[in-house]
Amino acid sequence: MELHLPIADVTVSPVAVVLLGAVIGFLAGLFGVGGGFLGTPLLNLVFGVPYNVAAGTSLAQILGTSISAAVKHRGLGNVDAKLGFCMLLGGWVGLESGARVVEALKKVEPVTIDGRTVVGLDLFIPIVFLVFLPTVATVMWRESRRAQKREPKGGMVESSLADRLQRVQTPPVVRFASSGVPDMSLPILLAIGFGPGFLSGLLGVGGGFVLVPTLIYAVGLPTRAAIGTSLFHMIFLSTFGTFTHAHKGNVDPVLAALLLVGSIIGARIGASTTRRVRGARLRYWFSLVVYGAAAAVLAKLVALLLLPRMG
Amino acid sequence: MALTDFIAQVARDTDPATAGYQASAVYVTICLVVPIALGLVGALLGYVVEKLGRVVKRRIR
Repeated sequence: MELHLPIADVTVSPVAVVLLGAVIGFLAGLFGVGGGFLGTPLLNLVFGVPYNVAAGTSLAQILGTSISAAVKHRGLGNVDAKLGFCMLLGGWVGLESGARVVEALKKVEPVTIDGRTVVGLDLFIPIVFLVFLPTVATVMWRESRRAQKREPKGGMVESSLADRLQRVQTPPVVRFASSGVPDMSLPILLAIGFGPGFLSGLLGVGGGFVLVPTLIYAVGLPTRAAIGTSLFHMIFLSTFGTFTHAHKGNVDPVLAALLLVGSIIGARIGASTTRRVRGARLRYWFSLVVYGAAAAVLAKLVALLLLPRMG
Repeated sequence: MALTDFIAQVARDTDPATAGYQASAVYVTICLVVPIALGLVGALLGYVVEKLGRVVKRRIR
């Protein structure tokens, strides 16, 4: 059975879309990421969905998946809603700032490579990804390998950055009883929220793979709480993103609904799996996913730079 | 199919001023309501399935 999608203007197999959704949802529930870095390119490559519609639809799918997974994580005691809200204010300002930088970069003159014109933004964003993603992945990979030998189940990460930031007590100071994080200064939390938000706006992704390491290493949140709080945070960021994309006609609700059928089931299985896996092991797997995302970006950049030469 | 036809129909309004297209309010609402509703329904169904699973396990024991 095949189905024609009106906005994406492609014909797809609903079963294949539901299966793709299940894989993305599992990653979302397990690692606290939306899966946009996986969903967007796969929708484009496998089903031929135009990139703008793939990005918008992926955000709509992230919205539904993060609601379902965050509810599950809340039941497991993994969501610190107060912390999520505190960081959200900084996140929104960061998101808007990142989006403005993108607008400014659009005005940069295109460069010519082997007779083919490449827009500056198409070069700049993958390069930022390629600096940032391997750095995050390597820090997590090295730390998690060390921690797997000594971390108690569900324990906190020893982070000197989090220790230093927790010592800053500029008022107002916020107390987080539910997650076990010591009192933290609100201005510091806003600044911490700004970073992942800025990268989300700049790179056009949900930002889970930025936010989860930030919550672990800069706030000092236990891994499972970081995953749950990241998903909670993502509900609000993806609502904003879906709304913006819908205004531009970039969301296919039928495609999003099919993806969600799979991803909601996958997200619950992923969230339940976090109960059985140690925090350090989760971070180790997460670092491999981030390496995978970096490899995908590298492949795209190589194709952009080399394909004109080969053609 | 009626659903896809309906979405295609409401997706874009022709803007007579620019002779271009813009997303209609109905379409934007559908794009937001569909994922939120499915996310909530999924969470509810998951909760029900887990509860039922526990009851069945207890009965078996």
